[in-house]
Amino acid sequence: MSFISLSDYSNKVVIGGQTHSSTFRKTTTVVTTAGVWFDGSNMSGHPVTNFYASTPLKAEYLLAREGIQHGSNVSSDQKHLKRVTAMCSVAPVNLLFIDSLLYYPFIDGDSTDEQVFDNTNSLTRETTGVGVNAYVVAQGTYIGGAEFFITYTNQAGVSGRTSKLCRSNLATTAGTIISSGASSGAMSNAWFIPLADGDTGIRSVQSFTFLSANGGIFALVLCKDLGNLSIREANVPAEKDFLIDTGLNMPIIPDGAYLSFLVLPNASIASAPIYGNIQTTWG
Amino acid sequence: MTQAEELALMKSKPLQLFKMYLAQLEEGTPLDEAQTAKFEYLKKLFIKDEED
Repeated sequence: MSFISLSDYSNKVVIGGQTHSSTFRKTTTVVTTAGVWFDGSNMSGHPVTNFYASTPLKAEYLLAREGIQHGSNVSSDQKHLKRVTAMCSVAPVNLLFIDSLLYYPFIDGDSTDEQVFDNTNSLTRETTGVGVNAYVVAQGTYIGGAEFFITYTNQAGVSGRTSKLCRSNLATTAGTIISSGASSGAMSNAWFIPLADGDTGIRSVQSFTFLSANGGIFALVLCKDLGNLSIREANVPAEKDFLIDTGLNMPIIPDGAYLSFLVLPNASIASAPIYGNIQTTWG
Repeated sequence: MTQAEELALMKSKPLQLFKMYLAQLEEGTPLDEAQTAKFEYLKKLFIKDEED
């Protein structure tokens, strides 16, 4: 089910109370780099800090109760992200809200061997892989500068696909998404790893390879992009109402989603908390 | 010990690394971010909470 009209929405949400609100407040002592994406789940505060701490190279899930709270399971209804609000004493800052689907921890940044992943666990949401992207986050400090790629199974179930080549940035700090940022030079990329031509998503990742030693340890994360929010002014709340601002196109939040955000700061956000709230609705 | 050596030790002798981190904490030396990530994993391995 979902909402079939504004009247239906009003009946279910305004009259029926099918809505949930929660808050978040995340901060880091790490000096972040302008123009380099950072993993908000790695920041302390609430929800709890996520360390991607599980069996090395084995696909693992994050628990919904440890992410930003979006309410209990609603199946067979459909839950939507209705509104997000956030502020920070540093601006501008872009937030990208995501559902983290699966991760592979403790990739060795000093190894140039092909590091093969254990896919005993597979996607439980977005199971075809359509629209699923991957990023690499530092679990500790690193040197950077090395090129890397992944091999994966795409959204059509075709295995043996190889990503475009990426180069680690030189930000060096834990929580940094290493494929992003200006210091990556000619192979500068966004937060996600660019896929082979024609592919629109990732169903699973088979291996990760550094072409030279990069230093550090890393987690590869598969996630679904839900929507973004730009904080344009310091200490001023920014708000996006997906119902109104995106033409009724509210992102879908599946049951069990681990809701988090990635941060793109324009200056260091060390000790500058990002706090706000979200509202979800279902029907 | 380098990050890579600690990672190798975590895979081959996790209890030894866990004890090493506990000793480091008892000495009052905080763990860095990479050690914290490994320590959180080792805690799950060796300390079972009620939900487990």
